[in-house]
Amino acid sequence: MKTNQETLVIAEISILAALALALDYLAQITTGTIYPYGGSISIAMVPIMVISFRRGIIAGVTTGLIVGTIQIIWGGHFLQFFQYILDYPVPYAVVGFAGILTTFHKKLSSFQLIMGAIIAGLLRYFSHYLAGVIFWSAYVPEEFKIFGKTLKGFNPHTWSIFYNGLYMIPTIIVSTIVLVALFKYAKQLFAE
Amino acid sequence: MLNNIKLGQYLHGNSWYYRLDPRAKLIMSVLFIVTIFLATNWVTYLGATIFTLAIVLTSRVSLKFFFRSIKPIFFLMLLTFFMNLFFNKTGKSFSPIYIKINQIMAGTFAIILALLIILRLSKVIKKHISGKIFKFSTLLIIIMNLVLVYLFSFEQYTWSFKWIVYKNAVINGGFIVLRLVLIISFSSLLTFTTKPTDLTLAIEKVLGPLKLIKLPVSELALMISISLRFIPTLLEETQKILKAQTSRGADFTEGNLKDKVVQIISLLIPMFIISFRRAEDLANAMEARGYIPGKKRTSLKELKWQYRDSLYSFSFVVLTLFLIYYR
Repeated sequence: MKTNQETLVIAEISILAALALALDYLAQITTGTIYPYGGSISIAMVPIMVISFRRGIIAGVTTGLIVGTIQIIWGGHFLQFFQYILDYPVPYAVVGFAGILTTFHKKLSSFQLIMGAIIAGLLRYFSHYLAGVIFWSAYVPEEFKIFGKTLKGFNPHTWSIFYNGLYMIPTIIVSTIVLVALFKYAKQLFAE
Repeated sequence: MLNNIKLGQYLHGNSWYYRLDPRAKLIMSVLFIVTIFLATNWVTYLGATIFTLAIVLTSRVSLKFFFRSIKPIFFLMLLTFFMNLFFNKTGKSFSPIYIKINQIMAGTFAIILALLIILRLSKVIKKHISGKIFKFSTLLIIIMNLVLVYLFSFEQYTWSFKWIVYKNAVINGGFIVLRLVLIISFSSLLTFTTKPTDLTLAIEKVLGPLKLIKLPVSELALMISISLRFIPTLLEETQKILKAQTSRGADFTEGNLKDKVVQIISLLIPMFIISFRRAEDLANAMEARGYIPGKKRTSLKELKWQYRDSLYSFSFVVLTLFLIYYR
Protein backbone atom coordinates (compact mmCIF):
# COMPACT_ATOMS: atom_id res chain seq x y z
CA MET A 1 0.00 0.00 0.00
CA LYS A 2 1.26 3.43 -0.81
CA THR A 3 1.30 5.84 2.09
CA ASN A 4 -0.34 9.20 1.77
CA GLN A 5 2.41 11.51 0.50
CA GLU A 6 1.49 14.32 2.87
CA THR A 7 1.65 12.11 5.96
CA LEU A 8 5.04 10.84 4.85
CA VAL A 9 6.32 14.40 4.43
CA ILE A 10 5.01 15.32 7.90
CA ALA A 11 6.81 12.32 9.40
CA GLU A 12 10.03 13.08 7.53
CA ILE A 13 9.99 16.73 8.60
CA SER A 14 9.45 15.77 12.25
CA ILE A 15 12.17 13.15 12.36
CA LEU A 16 14.72 15.20 10.45
CA ALA A 17 14.04 18.14 12.79
CA ALA A 18 14.71 15.72 15.66
CA LEU A 19 17.93 14.67 13.91
CA ALA A 20 19.01 18.30 13.54
CA LEU A 21 18.44 18.91 17.24
CA ALA A 22 20.22 15.69 18.19
CA LEU A 23 23.23 16.74 16.09
CA ASP A 24 23.16 20.17 17.68
CA TYR A 25 23.12 18.56 21.12
CA LEU A 26 26.06 16.32 20.20
CA ALA A 27 28.00 19.32 18.90
CA GLN A 28 27.36 21.16 22.14
CA ILE A 29 28.61 18.35 24.37
CA THR A 30 31.62 17.57 22.22
CA THR A 31 32.89 21.03 21.39
CA GLY A 32 31.64 22.66 24.57
CA THR A 33 30.45 26.22 24.81
CA ILE A 34 33.34 28.32 23.58
CA TYR A 35 31.19 31.28 22.67
CA PRO A 36 30.15 33.47 25.58
CA TYR A 37 26.75 34.58 24.25
CA GLY A 38 25.57 31.44 22.58
CA GLY A 39 26.11 30.05 19.15
CA SER A 40 28.15 26.99 18.32
CA ILE A 41 29.74 25.29 15.35
CA SER A 42 27.30 22.52 14.59
CA ILE A 43 26.01 20.70 11.56
CA ALA A 44 22.38 21.11 12.62
CA MET A 45 21.76 22.92 9.33
CA VAL A 46 22.52 19.80 7.27
CA PRO A 47 19.26 17.85 7.91
CA ILE A 48 17.24 20.99 7.17
CA MET A 49 19.07 21.43 3.87
CA VAL A 50 18.61 17.75 2.99
CA ILE A 51 14.84 18.04 3.52
CA SER A 52 14.82 21.22 1.48
CA PHE A 53 16.52 19.49 -1.46
CA ARG A 54 14.40 16.37 -1.08
CA ARG A 55 10.93 17.79 -0.48
CA GLY A 56 11.12 21.41 -1.56
CA ILE A 57 11.45 24.78 0.10
CA ILE A 58 8.19 24.71 2.06
CA ALA A 59 9.13 21.45 3.76
CA GLY A 60 12.62 22.82 4.43
CA VAL A 61 11.34 26.05 5.96
CA THR A 62 8.89 24.08 8.12
CA THR A 63 11.70 21.85 9.39
CA GLY A 64 13.73 24.91 10.31
CA LEU A 65 10.77 26.50 12.03
CA ILE A 66 10.31 23.38 14.16
CA VAL A 67 13.98 23.23 15.09
CA GLY A 68 13.89 26.89 16.15
CA THR A 69 10.65 26.52 18.08
CA ILE A 70 11.96 23.53 20.03
CA GLN A 71 15.03 25.53 20.94
CA ILE A 72 12.70 28.21 22.31
CA ILE A 73 10.79 25.56 24.25
CA TRP A 74 14.06 24.32 25.72
CA GLY A 75 14.95 27.86 26.69
CA GLY A 76 17.37 30.18 24.96
CA HIS A 77 18.99 33.55 25.40
CA PHE A 78 16.08 35.85 25.88
CA LEU A 79 17.05 39.51 25.74
CA GLN A 80 14.61 41.37 23.57
CA PHE A 81 11.45 40.30 21.79
CA PHE A 82 12.50 40.72 18.15
CA GLN A 83 15.99 39.53 18.95
CA TYR A 84 14.40 36.30 20.22
CA ILE A 85 12.36 35.78 17.07
CA LEU A 86 15.37 36.57 14.86
CA ASP A 87 17.74 34.42 16.92
CA TYR A 88 15.62 31.28 17.18
CA PRO A 89 12.87 30.44 14.66
CA VAL A 90 13.91 32.67 11.76
CA PRO A 91 17.58 31.65 11.21
CA TYR A 92 16.69 27.97 11.01
CA ALA A 93 13.61 28.63 8.90
CA VAL A 94 15.65 30.54 6.30
CA VAL A 95 18.05 27.59 6.05
CA GLY A 96 15.11 25.85 4.40
CA PHE A 97 15.73 28.07 1.35
CA ALA A 98 18.75 25.92 0.52
CA GLY A 99 16.73 24.09 -2.10
CA ILE A 100 15.69 27.27 -3.92
CA LEU A 101 17.79 26.46 -7.00
CA THR A 102 15.99 23.14 -7.52
CA THR A 103 12.91 25.11 -8.54
CA PHE A 104 14.80 26.38 -11.59
CA HIS A 105 16.87 23.34 -12.33
CA LYS A 106 15.49 19.97 -11.29
CA LYS A 107 18.64 17.89 -11.63
CA LEU A 108 20.83 17.99 -8.54
CA SER A 109 24.56 18.59 -8.84
CA SER A 110 27.35 19.28 -6.37
CA PHE A 111 27.54 22.87 -7.60
CA GLN A 112 23.87 23.38 -6.87
CA LEU A 113 24.31 21.91 -3.38
CA ILE A 114 27.25 24.18 -2.63
CA MET A 115 25.38 27.25 -3.87
CA GLY A 116 22.28 26.26 -1.90
CA ALA A 117 24.27 25.65 1.28
CA ILE A 118 26.05 28.99 0.95
CA ILE A 119 22.79 30.87 0.27
CA ALA A 120 21.15 29.21 3.28
CA GLY A 121 24.16 29.87 5.49
CA LEU A 122 24.35 33.53 4.50
CA LEU A 123 20.62 34.00 5.09
CA ARG A 124 21.05 32.54 8.58
CA TYR A 125 24.09 34.75 9.19
CA PHE A 126 22.07 37.79 8.12
CA SER A 127 19.27 36.89 10.51
CA HIS A 128 21.68 36.51 13.46
CA TYR A 129 23.31 39.79 12.44
CA LEU A 130 19.94 41.59 12.48
CA ALA A 131 19.18 40.09 15.90
CA GLY A 132 22.51 41.39 17.17
CA VAL A 133 21.85 44.87 15.80
CA ILE A 134 18.40 44.96 17.40
CA PHE A 135 19.79 43.83 20.72
CA TRP A 136 22.55 46.41 20.76
CA SER A 137 20.35 49.25 19.61
CA ALA A 138 18.01 48.49 22.51
CA TYR A 139 20.72 48.54 25.15
CA VAL A 140 23.36 50.98 24.04
CA PRO A 141 23.04 54.70 24.81
CA GLU A 142 21.72 56.56 21.79
CA GLU A 143 24.32 59.27 21.75
CA PHE A 144 27.47 59.97 23.64
CA LYS A 145 30.26 62.49 23.69
CA ILE A 146 33.77 61.32 23.21
CA PHE A 147 36.87 63.51 22.76
CA GLY A 148 34.60 66.54 22.60
CA LYS A 149 32.59 65.16 19.68
CA THR A 150 29.03 63.89 19.82
CA LEU A 151 28.67 60.48 18.27
CA LYS A 152 25.33 58.87 17.58
CA GLY A 153 25.25 55.27 18.71
CA PHE A 154 27.99 52.78 19.17
CA ASN A 155 28.41 50.85 15.96
CA PRO A 156 26.42 47.66 16.56
CA HIS A 157 26.70 46.58 12.93
CA THR A 158 30.39 45.74 12.89
CA TRP A 159 30.19 44.09 16.30
CA SER A 160 27.28 41.91 15.21
CA ILE A 161 28.97 40.94 11.94
CA PHE A 162 32.16 40.10 13.82
CA TYR A 163 30.64 38.12 16.68
CA ASN A 164 28.18 36.12 14.60
CA GLY A 165 30.84 35.56 11.96
CA LEU A 166 33.04 33.88 14.56
CA TYR A 167 30.79 30.84 14.57
CA MET A 168 28.72 31.29 11.41
CA ILE A 169 31.60 31.22 8.92
CA PRO A 170 33.08 27.93 10.22
CA THR A 171 29.54 26.53 10.44
CA ILE A 172 28.82 27.41 6.80
CA ILE A 173 32.11 25.86 5.63
CA VAL A 174 31.70 22.65 7.64
CA SER A 175 28.03 22.26 6.68
CA THR A 176 28.81 22.72 2.99
CA ILE A 177 31.58 20.11 3.09
CA VAL A 178 29.38 17.62 4.95
CA LEU A 179 26.45 18.21 2.60
CA VAL A 180 28.55 17.62 -0.52
CA ALA A 181 30.11 14.51 1.03
CA LEU A 182 26.65 13.18 1.87
CA PHE A 183 25.60 13.78 -1.73
CA LYS A 184 28.67 11.96 -3.00
CA TYR A 185 28.26 8.86 -0.82
CA ALA A 186 24.51 8.65 -0.22
CA LYS A 187 22.66 10.07 -3.22
CA GLN A 188 19.41 8.29 -2.26
CA LEU A 189 18.91 10.76 0.62
CA PHE A 190 18.28 13.59 -1.82
CA ALA A 191 15.85 11.79 -4.09
CA GLU A 192 12.18 11.51 -3.19
CA MET B 1 29.05 10.28 26.74
CA LEU B 2 25.30 10.07 26.39
CA ASN B 3 24.48 8.28 29.61
CA ASN B 4 22.51 10.99 31.29
CA ILE B 5 20.84 12.95 28.53
CA LYS B 6 19.25 16.10 29.80
CA LEU B 7 17.39 17.90 27.07
CA GLY B 8 15.87 21.26 27.75
CA GLN B 9 15.66 23.02 31.05
CA TYR B 10 12.61 21.43 32.67
CA LEU B 11 13.10 20.68 36.36
CA HIS B 12 10.88 18.31 38.27
CA GLY B 13 9.04 20.01 41.06
CA ASN B 14 5.73 21.04 42.47
CA SER B 15 4.43 24.47 43.38
CA TRP B 16 1.65 26.83 42.41
CA TYR B 17 3.66 27.99 39.42
CA TYR B 18 4.04 24.42 38.14
CA ARG B 19 0.29 23.91 38.36
CA LEU B 20 -0.61 27.04 36.38
CA ASP B 21 -2.05 26.59 32.91
CA PRO B 22 0.87 26.61 30.44
CA ARG B 23 -1.13 29.05 28.29
CA ALA B 24 -1.24 31.58 31.13
CA LYS B 25 2.49 31.14 31.78
CA LEU B 26 3.37 31.47 28.08
CA ILE B 27 1.27 34.58 27.42
CA MET B 28 2.37 36.33 30.61
CA SER B 29 6.06 35.56 30.01
CA VAL B 30 5.85 37.09 26.55
CA LEU B 31 3.91 40.09 27.87
CA PHE B 32 6.46 40.60 30.62
CA ILE B 33 9.19 41.44 28.10
CA VAL B 34 6.95 44.08 26.59
CA THR B 35 5.75 45.55 29.89
CA ILE B 36 9.22 45.72 31.46
CA PHE B 37 10.13 48.34 28.86
CA LEU B 38 7.50 50.59 30.46
CA ALA B 39 9.69 50.83 33.56
CA THR B 40 11.73 54.02 33.42
CA ASN B 41 12.45 55.17 36.96
CA TRP B 42 13.34 53.58 40.27
CA VAL B 43 9.73 53.27 41.51
CA THR B 44 8.66 51.24 38.50
CA TYR B 45 11.84 49.14 38.57
CA LEU B 46 11.30 48.47 42.27
CA GLY B 47 7.72 47.37 41.57
CA ALA B 48 8.77 45.05 38.73
CA THR B 49 11.63 43.61 40.80
CA ILE B 50 9.36 42.88 43.79
CA PHE B 51 6.81 41.26 41.48
CA THR B 52 9.42 39.03 39.83
CA LEU B 53 11.12 38.17 43.13
CA ALA B 54 7.80 37.21 44.71
CA ILE B 55 7.05 34.81 41.86
CA VAL B 56 10.58 33.42 41.65
CA LEU B 57 10.83 32.81 45.40
CA THR B 58 7.43 31.16 45.72
CA SER B 59 7.94 28.98 42.62
CA ARG B 60 10.23 26.71 44.69
CA VAL B 61 12.81 26.52 41.92
CA SER B 62 16.29 26.60 43.43
CA LEU B 63 17.93 30.00 42.87
CA LYS B 64 21.11 28.36 41.60
CA PHE B 65 19.33 27.46 38.37
CA PHE B 66 18.52 31.13 37.79
CA PHE B 67 22.15 32.06 38.36
CA ARG B 68 23.12 29.34 35.94
CA SER B 69 20.91 30.80 33.21
CA ILE B 70 22.13 34.34 33.87
CA LYS B 71 25.79 33.26 33.83
CA PRO B 72 26.21 32.90 30.03
CA ILE B 73 25.25 36.51 29.44
CA PHE B 74 26.92 37.92 32.53
CA PHE B 75 29.80 39.13 30.39
CA LEU B 76 27.36 40.84 28.03
CA MET B 77 25.71 42.63 30.95
CA LEU B 78 29.07 43.77 32.28
CA LEU B 79 29.97 45.08 28.83
CA THR B 80 26.71 47.05 28.45
CA PHE B 81 27.13 48.45 31.95
CA PHE B 82 30.67 49.65 31.30
CA MET B 83 29.77 51.00 27.87
CA ASN B 84 27.18 53.10 29.63
CA LEU B 85 29.73 54.27 32.20
CA PHE B 86 32.15 55.31 29.47
CA PHE B 87 29.85 56.80 26.91
CA ASN B 88 26.76 58.15 28.62
CA LYS B 89 27.68 61.70 29.59
CA THR B 90 24.49 63.23 30.91
CA GLY B 91 23.44 64.36 34.34
CA LYS B 92 25.60 65.33 37.31
CA SER B 93 29.20 64.20 37.22
CA PHE B 94 31.01 62.51 40.06
CA SER B 95 34.53 63.63 40.92
CA PRO B 96 36.97 62.43 38.26
CA ILE B 97 38.95 59.27 38.78
CA TYR B 98 42.62 59.30 37.78
CA ILE B 99 43.74 56.02 36.32
CA LYS B 100 47.39 55.15 35.96
CA ILE B 101 48.31 52.14 33.93
CA ASN B 102 51.83 50.88 34.07
CA GLN B 103 52.87 49.67 30.66
CA ILE B 104 54.87 46.76 32.05
CA MET B 105 51.90 45.56 34.06
CA ALA B 106 49.57 45.97 31.09
CA GLY B 107 51.95 44.04 28.87
CA THR B 108 52.22 41.19 31.36
CA PHE B 109 48.47 40.97 31.71
CA ALA B 110 48.06 40.91 27.95
CA ILE B 111 50.54 38.04 27.69
CA ILE B 112 48.82 36.09 30.47
CA LEU B 113 45.43 36.65 28.82
CA ALA B 114 46.78 35.45 25.49
CA LEU B 115 48.26 32.36 27.19
CA LEU B 116 44.92 31.65 28.87
CA ILE B 117 43.11 31.83 25.54
CA ILE B 118 45.66 29.56 23.87
CA LEU B 119 45.44 27.13 26.80
CA ARG B 120 41.68 27.05 26.55
CA LEU B 121 41.70 26.41 22.81
CA SER B 122 44.53 23.92 22.61
CA LYS B 123 44.09 20.42 23.94
CA VAL B 124 47.74 19.52 23.35
CA ILE B 125 49.09 22.08 25.79
CA LYS B 126 46.43 21.11 28.33
CA LYS B 127 47.80 17.59 28.34
CA HIS B 128 51.30 18.71 29.29
CA ILE B 129 50.69 21.63 31.60
CA SER B 130 48.32 21.06 34.48
CA GLY B 131 46.03 23.90 35.52
CA LYS B 132 47.62 24.16 38.98
CA ILE B 133 51.11 24.83 37.68
CA PHE B 134 49.79 27.41 35.27
CA LYS B 135 47.79 29.22 37.95
CA PHE B 136 50.74 29.17 40.33
CA SER B 137 53.16 30.57 37.77
CA THR B 138 50.65 33.24 36.72
CA LEU B 139 50.29 34.32 40.34
CA LEU B 140 54.06 34.38 40.73
CA ILE B 141 54.48 36.60 37.64
CA ILE B 142 51.81 39.01 38.86
CA ILE B 143 53.38 39.27 42.32
CA MET B 144 56.83 39.80 40.85
CA ASN B 145 55.47 42.54 38.65
CA LEU B 146 53.74 44.26 41.53
CA VAL B 147 56.96 44.21 43.55
CA LEU B 148 58.97 45.54 40.61
CA VAL B 149 56.50 48.33 39.89
CA TYR B 150 56.32 49.23 43.59
CA LEU B 151 60.11 49.33 43.95
CA PHE B 152 60.99 51.31 40.85
CA SER B 153 57.68 53.12 40.10
CA PHE B 154 58.51 53.45 36.39
CA GLU B 155 56.98 56.90 35.92
CA GLN B 156 58.13 57.20 32.32
CA TYR B 157 56.28 54.00 31.37
CA THR B 158 52.93 55.05 32.73
CA TRP B 159 49.81 56.10 30.90
CA SER B 160 47.45 58.26 32.91
CA PHE B 161 43.83 59.00 32.17
CA LYS B 162 41.16 61.18 33.66
CA TRP B 163 37.86 59.36 33.76
CA ILE B 164 34.67 61.16 34.75
CA VAL B 165 31.69 59.04 35.69
CA TYR B 166 28.28 60.65 35.33
CA LYS B 167 25.33 59.97 37.60
CA ASN B 168 22.91 59.09 34.80
CA ALA B 169 25.40 56.63 33.36
CA VAL B 170 25.49 54.62 36.57
CA ILE B 171 21.70 54.71 36.94
CA ASN B 172 21.01 53.80 33.30
CA GLY B 173 23.61 51.05 33.30
CA GLY B 174 22.16 49.63 36.50
CA PHE B 175 18.63 49.72 35.09
CA ILE B 176 19.73 47.94 31.91
CA VAL B 177 21.41 45.15 33.87
CA LEU B 178 18.39 44.87 36.19
CA ARG B 179 16.03 44.69 33.22
CA LEU B 180 18.08 41.91 31.64
CA VAL B 181 18.15 39.95 34.90
CA LEU B 182 14.37 40.28 35.29
CA ILE B 183 13.66 39.23 31.71
CA ILE B 184 15.97 36.22 31.90
CA SER B 185 14.60 35.10 35.27
CA PHE B 186 11.06 35.31 34.02
CA SER B 187 11.62 33.48 30.76
CA SER B 188 13.79 30.85 32.45
CA LEU B 189 11.03 30.25 34.97
CA LEU B 190 8.69 29.33 32.12
CA THR B 191 11.03 26.68 30.73
CA PHE B 192 12.03 25.47 34.22
CA THR B 193 8.46 24.75 35.26
CA THR B 194 6.75 23.68 32.03
CA LYS B 195 7.27 20.37 30.29
CA PRO B 196 8.13 20.71 26.57
CA THR B 197 5.00 18.75 25.63
CA ASP B 198 2.77 21.05 27.70
CA LEU B 199 4.44 24.09 26.19
CA THR B 200 3.82 22.72 22.70
CA LEU B 201 0.14 22.26 23.52
CA ALA B 202 0.04 25.83 24.86
CA ILE B 203 1.69 27.18 21.71
CA GLU B 204 -0.86 25.32 19.60
CA LYS B 205 -3.74 26.81 21.57
CA VAL B 206 -2.32 30.33 21.72
CA LEU B 207 -1.56 30.41 17.99
CA GLY B 208 -4.93 28.78 17.25
CA PRO B 209 -6.47 31.94 15.74
CA LEU B 210 -3.81 31.80 12.99
CA LYS B 211 -5.72 28.84 11.54
CA LEU B 212 -8.07 31.47 10.11
CA ILE B 213 -5.32 32.64 7.73
CA LYS B 214 -4.72 29.03 6.64
CA LEU B 215 -1.64 28.47 8.80
CA PRO B 216 -1.46 24.75 9.70
CA VAL B 217 -0.99 25.38 13.44
CA SER B 218 -2.09 21.95 14.65
CA GLU B 219 0.10 20.15 12.10
CA LEU B 220 3.07 22.22 13.25
CA ALA B 221 2.32 21.39 16.88
CA LEU B 222 2.05 17.72 16.00
CA MET B 223 5.42 17.82 14.25
CA ILE B 224 6.98 19.52 17.27
CA SER B 225 5.60 16.81 19.57
CA ILE B 226 6.90 14.03 17.30
CA SER B 227 10.29 15.73 17.12
CA LEU B 228 10.51 16.07 20.89
CA ARG B 229 9.61 12.39 21.24
CA PHE B 230 12.28 11.21 18.78
CA ILE B 231 15.31 13.24 19.88
CA PRO B 232 16.31 10.84 22.71
CA THR B 233 15.71 7.87 20.39
CA LEU B 234 17.98 9.32 17.73
CA LEU B 235 20.67 10.10 20.33
CA GLU B 236 20.52 6.49 21.48
CA GLU B 237 20.82 5.42 17.85
CA THR B 238 23.87 7.67 17.45
CA GLN B 239 25.52 6.00 20.40
CA LYS B 240 24.95 2.58 18.83
CA ILE B 241 26.45 3.70 15.51
CA LEU B 242 29.41 5.29 17.30
CA LYS B 243 30.09 1.99 19.09
CA ALA B 244 29.65 0.00 15.88
CA GLN B 245 32.06 2.24 13.97
CA THR B 246 34.55 2.21 16.85
CA SER B 247 34.48 -1.59 16.91
CA ARG B 248 35.36 -1.49 13.22
CA GLY B 249 38.39 0.63 14.00
CA ALA B 250 37.14 4.17 13.55
CA ASP B 251 38.72 6.66 15.93
CA PHE B 252 36.48 9.60 16.73
CA THR B 253 38.85 11.43 19.03
CA GLU B 254 42.00 11.95 16.98
CA GLY B 255 42.86 13.02 13.48
CA ASN B 256 43.16 16.11 11.34
CA LEU B 257 40.33 18.00 9.68
CA LYS B 258 40.04 15.62 6.73
CA ASP B 259 39.85 12.59 9.02
CA LYS B 260 37.28 14.37 11.14
CA VAL B 261 35.06 15.03 8.12
CA VAL B 262 35.34 11.37 7.09
CA GLN B 263 34.40 10.31 10.63
CA ILE B 264 31.43 12.66 10.71
CA ILE B 265 30.24 11.34 7.35
CA SER B 266 30.60 7.73 8.48
CA LEU B 267 28.34 8.63 11.39
CA LEU B 268 25.91 10.80 9.45
CA ILE B 269 25.05 8.48 6.56
CA PRO B 270 23.63 5.72 8.81
CA MET B 271 21.89 8.38 10.92
CA PHE B 272 20.13 9.83 7.89
CA ILE B 273 19.17 6.43 6.52
CA ILE B 274 17.78 5.34 9.90
CA SER B 275 15.88 8.61 10.19
CA PHE B 276 14.22 8.25 6.81
CA ARG B 277 13.37 4.61 7.54
CA ARG B 278 11.84 5.62 10.86
CA ALA B 279 9.89 8.37 9.13
CA GLU B 280 8.41 5.86 6.72
CA ASP B 281 7.43 3.51 9.54
CA LEU B 282 5.94 6.41 11.43
CA ALA B 283 3.94 7.56 8.41
CA ASN B 284 2.55 4.03 7.98
CA ALA B 285 1.67 3.85 11.67
CA MET B 286 -0.05 7.24 11.54
CA GLU B 287 -1.98 6.19 8.46
CA ALA B 288 -3.03 2.92 10.11
CA ARG B 289 -4.41 4.88 13.06
CA GLY B 290 -6.49 7.04 10.77
CA TYR B 291 -4.41 10.20 10.64
CA ILE B 292 -5.54 12.53 7.89
CA PRO B 293 -3.57 15.79 7.48
CA GLY B 294 -5.69 18.88 8.02
CA LYS B 295 -8.53 17.15 9.81
CA LYS B 296 -9.51 18.12 13.35
CA ARG B 297 -7.81 16.01 16.01
CA THR B 298 -8.50 15.61 19.70
CA SER B 299 -5.76 15.67 22.28
CA LEU B 300 -5.06 13.14 25.02
CA LYS B 301 -4.41 15.93 27.44
CA GLU B 302 -6.79 18.88 27.53
CA LEU B 303 -5.76 22.14 29.13
CA LYS B 304 -8.15 23.59 31.68
CA TRP B 305 -8.21 27.30 32.45
CA GLN B 306 -8.84 27.65 36.16
CA TYR B 307 -9.50 30.30 38.75
CA ARG B 308 -5.83 30.61 39.69
CA ASP B 309 -4.86 31.28 36.06
CA SER B 310 -7.26 34.20 35.90
CA LEU B 311 -5.88 35.46 39.20
CA TYR B 312 -2.33 35.24 37.89
CA SER B 313 -3.28 37.09 34.70
CA PHE B 314 -5.03 39.73 36.78
CA SER B 315 -1.86 40.31 38.83
CA PHE B 316 -0.14 41.02 35.54
CA VAL B 317 -2.73 43.61 34.59
CA VAL B 318 -2.15 45.25 37.97
CA LEU B 319 1.61 45.31 37.35
CA THR B 320 1.14 46.86 33.91
CA LEU B 321 -1.19 49.56 35.27
CA PHE B 322 1.29 50.26 38.06
CA LEU B 323 4.12 50.65 35.54
CA ILE B 324 2.05 52.96 33.32
CA TYR B 325 0.90 55.10 36.26
CA TYR B 326 4.31 55.61 37.86
CA ARG B 327 6.53 55.85 34.81
